[in-house]
Parts: sequence; structure tokens; C-alpha cells
Amino acid sequence: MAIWIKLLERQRIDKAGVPKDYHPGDWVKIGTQQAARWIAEGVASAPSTQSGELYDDSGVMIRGTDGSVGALLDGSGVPHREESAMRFPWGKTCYWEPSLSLRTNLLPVGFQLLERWDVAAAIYDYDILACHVGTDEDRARTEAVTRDLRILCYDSRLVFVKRGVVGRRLLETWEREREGGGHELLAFLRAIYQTPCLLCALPATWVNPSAQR
Amino acid sequence: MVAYGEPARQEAAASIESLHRWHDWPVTVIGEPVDGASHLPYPDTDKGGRWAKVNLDKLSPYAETLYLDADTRVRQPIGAGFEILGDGWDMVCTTSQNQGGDWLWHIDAEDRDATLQEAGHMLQLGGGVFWFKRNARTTRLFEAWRAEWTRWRNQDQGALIRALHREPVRVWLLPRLWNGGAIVEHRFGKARRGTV
Repeated sequence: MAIWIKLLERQRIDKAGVPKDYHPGDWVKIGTQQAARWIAEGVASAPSTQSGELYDDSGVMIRGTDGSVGALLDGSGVPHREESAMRFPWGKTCYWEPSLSLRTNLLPVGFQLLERWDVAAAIYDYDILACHVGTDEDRARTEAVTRDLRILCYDSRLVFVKRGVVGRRLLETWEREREGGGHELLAFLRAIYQTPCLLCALPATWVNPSAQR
Repeated sequence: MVAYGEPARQEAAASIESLHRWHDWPVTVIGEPVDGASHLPYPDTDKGGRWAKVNLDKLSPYAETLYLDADTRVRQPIGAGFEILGDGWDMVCTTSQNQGGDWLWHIDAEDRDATLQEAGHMLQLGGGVFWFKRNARTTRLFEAWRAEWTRWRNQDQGALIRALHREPVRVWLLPRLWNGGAIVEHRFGKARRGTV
């Protein structure tokens, strides 16, 4: 599928195999995946009337709130629901916990990644490992699952999941691991480890724009 | 492990010795013979031995393989890598220290631009330490890695990102401690020809 976007920066785009220069302000019709990337990177913008195409069968499930956060996304064009139950309202769902500031321009990119991957989640921090968080008991429980604690954590506040057998298994395992209490990062780490899947690890900049390495 | 040239052979021998302090795993060196390892001859076609690396799925004699660059030193136990494969993951990789502004700084601009255009600004992985099991998904990944590497025939990290974008596998990520840190030291560049 292709959509029209407005370029905010100069770009060279192949048209029928011939590279052509386009300038800020030019409108070009390109594939939604490339469009989503450029919009996320600030290279282009899309008219709001096309947001439905970027969010086709996709939306944000807001977790862990009193029901008042959804208003923040009203008018953004982003389909969203605010429920405590972990389920799949859409084919591609972003589970967002609002203690993390949501960068809505990244949402189309995350949803596009689910065309190829089962799950997409960002590295929490390149230097904070499982051995650095939680209690002794929590870490011991985690190590019994993940084999080693010298491993990265994923930020469970922003997780993209594709509907399907694997996605359902992940949500069930995640809920089960959370019920036992303990640190949220470790609960998600145990859940994702026990659900071998096509996991797209996103750079930490997705959840912490100042993360460099 | 892959070794071509005297510096790489010396580095590989030291790397194998460091590995065997912790694990008694059999080791095969592709390229030139090295003490302490089986030898698998393979043509030396590029300066970094990367063609051999992107053919590991066909060359490795093992169903589950740990690949180590010759210039690595194993400083702590690394047994978790094979256990993670056993738990259902296809590949265990490490993140690179080059993220953010340093992303793929070391590869050709065309290679880097193509990676950005085709796969987006995805996580840069380190190609010097990884585990993989042989299955249909990793076979497709290695085929894609070879195809992407042959576009520029230089570094392999951009090609790996593009290959993963084309043919995703179940990747479990480890931090850079496992490739250039306290767990596996990486003496980047010490295996290059002309360094002895």
C-alpha cells in the first residue's frame, strides 16, 4: 500500500529505477513502511486524513491507569482503549504504560515492524542488566528461567504485539509472571524469554531519547 | 572461528585457550590451522574473512554453534548461550556499543545508507560473538546475510541488519559485556593481517 507524504527534508527517491531529488514541501507517494519511518524520523509528515491507513487494524492499549489517560490520545488519530485486561482489540496492539511518555510518531513504525516480527520492544538501558534490578528473590526466580542474569532488560511500558498464537502466549505468560509480584522489568523478561518468538529489539532511544549506547 | 594470516592464527590460539579455561567445547577454525582446534580449509576471498563468516551455517560441523572472532578472549563462563538456544531461541547475539550517533559509523556510507533506507534505524548488533542453531529460519537468514554482504563485500553488520529485516529469526540479545566487555574481551583489529 502506498500513501502520500509531504517531505520535510531533501530526499533522493528511486522512481522506476531512476534516482530523483525531492525537496522539502514536495509531496511523494511511497510505501507505508517507508512513510512510517520517515514520519517517525521527522523527515516527512502525513495529512491527518491518512492516519487511518497508518493505523490499519492497529491501536494502543493503555495499561495500569484509572481510565483517565485515554483522553490524552483523543484527537491524535491513534486508536486506543484503556483497559486492565491484556487482550487483542486489534491485529497489532501497542501496550503502553503511561509512566513512559508516549511518542506517537513512533507508533506507525512499531506497527509496521509487526508485519515481519511477532513482538517489538525496546532495550530498557544498555547498561542496566537483570542482575541490577529487583530483589534477591526476584532475581533468583528470573535466573531460574533466563539461565543468566547478565542480560538486557526490555522496557515493558511500550510493547508491540501481533495477534496470534505467539502473541497470546506472551500475554498469558506476562500476566502470570506479573501476578507473582516483583519488578516489572524482570516479570516481562521472564515472560518474553519463555515465549521464543520473532522479537524485534528496538534501540533504547525509543524509550529514552538521550540513550546513546 | 575464522582465521587467515599469522596475526589471526595467533589471536585464535589465544582465544581458544581462554575459552577452554571455562568450557571444554570442541573448536573448529575455518581458514588456516590453529593449535587446539580442528581445521576446516576454506578459500581466503576477502581481507576480513567475512565471506567465511556469512557461510557459517553451511561450514560449521555443529548443529549449534558459537562463533567467536579470533581476537576475542573469554573471561567468564558463557554457557548460557547454548542453554538459550536449547530453550527455543534461534540465535543469541550481542548489542554493539555503536548505537545512536555512532550507528554503523565504521561501514561504507552506501552500505550504511542502504541499511537505513531498507531496514530503518534498527539496533546495531555485534558480529564478533554469536550463537546460532541450524534450522529453516537461520538457513534463510544466512542466505539473506550472504546476499546482503555481497552488495559491498566489506563489513558485515549492515548486511546483518538488512538480512534480519528480510528474514527475521528468534534472536535473544545479550549486552556488550559479552562482546567487548568483562565477559568476552574483544581486541578489535588485532587479528588483521599486518598487525604482527
